[in-house]
Amino acid sequence: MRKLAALFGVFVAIFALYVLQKSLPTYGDITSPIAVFGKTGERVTARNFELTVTQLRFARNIKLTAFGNERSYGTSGIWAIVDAEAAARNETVTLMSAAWLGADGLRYLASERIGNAPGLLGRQQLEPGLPQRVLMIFEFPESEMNKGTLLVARYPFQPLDNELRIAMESSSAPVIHDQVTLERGRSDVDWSVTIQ
Amino acid sequence: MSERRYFWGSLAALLVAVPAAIALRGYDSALAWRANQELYPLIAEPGKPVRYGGAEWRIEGLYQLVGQDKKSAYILAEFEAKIDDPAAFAAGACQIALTDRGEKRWSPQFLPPYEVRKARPSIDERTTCGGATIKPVKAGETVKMAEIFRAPSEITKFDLAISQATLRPSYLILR
Repeated sequence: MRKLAALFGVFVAIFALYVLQKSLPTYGDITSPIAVFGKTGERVTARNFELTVTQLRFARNIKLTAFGNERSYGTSGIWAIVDAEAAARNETVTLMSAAWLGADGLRYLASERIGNAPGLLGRQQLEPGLPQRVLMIFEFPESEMNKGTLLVARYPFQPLDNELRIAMESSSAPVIHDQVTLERGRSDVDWSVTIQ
Repeated sequence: MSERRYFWGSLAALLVAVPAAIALRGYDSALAWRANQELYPLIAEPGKPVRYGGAEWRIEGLYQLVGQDKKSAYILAEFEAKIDDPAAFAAGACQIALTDRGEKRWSPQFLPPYEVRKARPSIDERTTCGGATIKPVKAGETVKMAEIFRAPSEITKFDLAISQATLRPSYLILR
């Protein structure tokens, strides 16, 4: 009887270890960024910055007017143009990481194809007390445009720092514009986004 | 010694050994963290010099240029360092920020904005704090520096916080 109990104890221990192995978070999980959830139109606050998504547009083509030149950027998927207002909280920051997380879990980093686009998030020095209009541009397949999540963080990988996860609410049949025009003005803050 | 005494003795040793291991492993990290913080200020009252990092630092002026939107302003800080130990002055990269004497800190602009250069053309004759520490300097020389910050126009009282990597956690406040 005693041997049987010991054997049972060993099996219980093995089972407990198996459950622990399968359920314990990995080192990556423990040190991953700390998510702050929000949605379009509301101010979402991280430790160092805050961001409000003001508008989301989809387009098949982007026309950029800058420094007297015009250039068109097409895509085999679609462009997502995210307008937002961002500010630092206590110290100057630059937000180097923006990504679109599709409903199926694929992650698309902000496009660097349109390097001259105005107001690009990663190129703005955000100052405390001075909210600033910023732009994020993504390029992905049309199938990814519904139920996407915008991920914004200070750095692409910063363990234990905040990462904003903003649900990008679009209507059940989001409008895809033929063309969106980005126009750069004379100063860094002077730019516009228009639909054609 | 009985088994029971071994058990309690080992448990007591663990109570000492575990915190000691944590402290030993964390010591270097704690030192690295401390060396990156600005904890002990050396405060220079307006116009008065203070010695820090092989030089005597003095603020010459803080100017505010309110932007067209009336909400933001460029803050131009002009300051100088009279070098008496060039090696100590150039020992570590200069880190500079504008503070509101509270929690908020503004980093300098990477390039001087057009509006500021137009209002104060003499800014081109001055170097930045980071640029000054990599340029060869001689003892007795006075290095003129300027930095530009962008901050809300409603804030009018600022300090300039300067620190060198090799001298942190002590840092300089030019008031």
